[in-house]
Parts: sequence; structure tokens; C-alpha cells
Amino acid sequence: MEARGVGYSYRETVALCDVSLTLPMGETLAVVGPSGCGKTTLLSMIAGLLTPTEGILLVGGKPVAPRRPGTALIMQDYGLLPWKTVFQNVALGLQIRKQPLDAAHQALAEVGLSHLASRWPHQLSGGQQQRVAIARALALSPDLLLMDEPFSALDALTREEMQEMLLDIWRRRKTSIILVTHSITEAVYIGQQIVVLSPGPGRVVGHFRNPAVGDRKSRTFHEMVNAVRDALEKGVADRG
Amino acid sequence: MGKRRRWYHYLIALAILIAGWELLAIWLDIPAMPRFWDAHVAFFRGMTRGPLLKHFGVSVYRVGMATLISLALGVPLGLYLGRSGGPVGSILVYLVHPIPKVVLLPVIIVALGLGDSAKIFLITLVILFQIIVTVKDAAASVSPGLIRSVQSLGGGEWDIFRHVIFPACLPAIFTALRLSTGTAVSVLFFAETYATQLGLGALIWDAWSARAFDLMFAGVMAMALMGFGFYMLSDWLEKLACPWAHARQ
Repeated sequence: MEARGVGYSYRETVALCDVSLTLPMGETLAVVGPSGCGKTTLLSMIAGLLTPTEGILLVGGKPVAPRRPGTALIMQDYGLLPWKTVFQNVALGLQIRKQPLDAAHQALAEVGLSHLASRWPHQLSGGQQQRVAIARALALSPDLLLMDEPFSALDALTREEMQEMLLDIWRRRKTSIILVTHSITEAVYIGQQIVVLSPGPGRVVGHFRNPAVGDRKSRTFHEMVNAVRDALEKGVADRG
Repeated sequence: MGKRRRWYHYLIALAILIAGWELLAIWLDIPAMPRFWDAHVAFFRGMTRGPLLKHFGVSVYRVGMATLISLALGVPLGLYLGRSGGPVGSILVYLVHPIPKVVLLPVIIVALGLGDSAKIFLITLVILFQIIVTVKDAAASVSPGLIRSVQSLGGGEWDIFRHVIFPACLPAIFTALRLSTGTAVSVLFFAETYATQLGLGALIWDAWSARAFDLMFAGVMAMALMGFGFYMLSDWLEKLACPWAHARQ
């Protein structure tokens, strides 16, 4: 995935301007920023749901196109259909693409929810619903996984559990992951690269290579957290 | 959806209804308000040996057909107006919906004659708009997040309709069905009191003219039974069609 000077404006409002970054295959990237910094807009453009109004955005070496089969998006509110069972939700992408549904069983097992396959989404906890949403994305064997504040609605312990599960999946599948979050520690735990955005219009005010991925307790982790926090605060202060 | 209904709930509701009836009949003490027992004897005699069953069957057929036709027309129209219909369609519905369609009975009879089709047409005309309006509102308020979620999985227009819009509107379709049952029975009564020999409305009207109040109330009971049957049927169908709405937490 590569972005060169990407921007997005809606009528007179500039949501995002001059964003440039490169994510090699199989790596992870975390985008941090305060609310209204255009994080979700950036993700929607990479997913092909919005078209950039400026710059060039390449996914898999080609200009981003709607409905690219290798891209999977996981939304903040999970996007599970209440009238489909857990299994039917996980299999939905396969069903739409007319692929065999076996991958859905495997994906459900991977997130540890095979025993809940016949439940309805409203019968699950928030963390379980999030796992279903991840399984639904994994069932399509994506090479690029996009996540929009995936764990923000979960309690602290569940959130850390989910972050660990996500890293496990990444280590096993080597899927590229772009994770948008407002949590600094989440970004440092998951992102090999961390991009910090300033509030509206969103610009890149910090870009880090992060050696502390997956190691919550190390000294480098805390140094990284502080560096990201400084960049965030600076981004907000410069605007005011 | 309230709590699950059990058999004794039906008995309790029936007992309350009969007690209210008896109290009213004793208090009024007039021939036009017979005691429950007398009406109930007339009801069972009419249903087994008398003509009541035939009138009941004709009325059930008319309401049932009108409901089926209204659903077949109203659900697609409501979905269309709620999702992709222009403002003209909505304005048209709002203009036509409040017209009391029963005033058109003379026109309908001239056009369709005195048979079943005129009655079915009139009932359809009334409940069709209730169904269109309810379904339209439900279709318009489908969560955009769910639509985006199906889009992000690669779904096109048909997938969005099949996996999101239609199932999201199913509960509203059943609500519309239940709302229209009461209306349909009222309109049926009106349609059957005019130049007709068949149907519960005709039976009630004739019994009233003949001052046969037991039979008249037997007809009222048959009407209530018919409406109740339609409610139970729609509840049962909803349980089959919307299992997610009835699963325990």
C-alpha cells in the first residue's frame, strides 16, 4: 500500500491533506490521531469506499479500486447483521463472492468461537462480536486488513486480549494490517509503523518505526508511547 | 414482543371478556344485548348446523385474499419508495392514503359488480396504503452502517437488498399485517352490509332486521374469531420468518 500526497475534501472542508506513507506487504501500520483528524476518511479511501480528491493511492501496486477482493474492512460497530447467525455472518463475504463456505468454519475456529456458530449476534458479548467481525474478514483470506477503532468499545482487559489475538493472527497469516485508533498504547502494541495525524485538516505530524510491537512491558515500548504522545500533543498545539 | 403466551393466558383473557359481557348484559337488560350463554348457543348451532359457517368461510376468503393482494403489491412498493423512490411517489401516497376509501364503494360496485371481487378490491384499497407507509418508513430507516458492511464485503445492489434491506423490513411487514387485520375486518363489515346475502356482515345485518339478537351476536363472535385467527397466524409466521427477534438474550 502506498499513498503519495493523498488528500480528501468534502465541499469546502478539507478532511485530510498531503498524506504520504508506504506499507510493505505483510507489515502493520497504526494511525493515531484525535477525533476529527480524518482517520476514518483515510481508511475509507484505502478500502475503496471513498475516492481521494488529491494525490495517488496505490494498493497492491494498482490505483485503489472499489471492491478489491484482497481488502477486508472491519468497522467500529462490527457491522454484523442481526438476522444472521454467527456462522452466516462469517460466511457472508464468501456467499456474496460465491466461494465455498469451508473457510468460514476455519476462520471461526481461529478466533475461538466455533461453539457459538449458531447463536445470534445480540446473544454475544462485545468482545465476541468483535471476534465474529474479524473472522468474517479472515474468511476471505485478505492480504490487507483495515480496522477502524476496532476495540474502542471494549473493556480494558478484553481489549488487550483482542490485541494479542490480532497479533497472533498477523504472525500466522502475515496479512498487512492498517489499524486506526485513538489509543496510543494500542498503536504502539500493534503498529510496526506509527503515523500520527493532527486534528482537522488531518496532516501527518509524526511517523515512527516502532521496534516495540507486541511487547507491552519493555522500556522501548514506554519510550515509544511517550514519543507518540509528544507528536500528538504538538499536532494539537500547533493548530491552536 | 411481550412475554411468551401460554394456554392459561388465553383462558384468563377469555374469562375477562365473558365477565365484561355478562355484566353489561345484566346491567343493560335489553333484548339487543343478549346474555353470553344465549349468543354462544346460537354461535355453536350456527357453526355446526346452521348457515353461520358458510358466511364465516366467505368472509375469511375475502379478508384473506385482500390481505394477500395487499402484501404482494404493498411490500415491493413500500420497499421501492423507502429506498429509491422519488418524492413524487411519497407525496402521491400521502395524498391518497387519507381518502376514506369506503366512499368509493358505489363506484367499485358499478365497476366490479356485487360479487366477491368488489369487496376484496375495497378492503385491498384500504389496507394497501397502511402496508405501503409502514414498509416505506422501515425501508428508509435501515442502518447505513449495515449497508456499508455488506458493501465492504464486495456486495452489490442485489446483495444489499437480499441481506440487509429485506430482512431489516420483515418485522415492520408483520406489524403492518397486524395493523391491517383490524382495519380489514371493519371494512369487510361495511362492504358486506350493502346489497349482499353472503358474509358475516350480511348475516349480522339480516339478524338485526329480524331482531334475532342471539344470531346477531353469534355473527359478532365469528368476526372476532376471524380477526383473532389472522392475528395468531401472523404471529406464528413472524416467529418462523424472524427467528432472531425471538431468541433469548
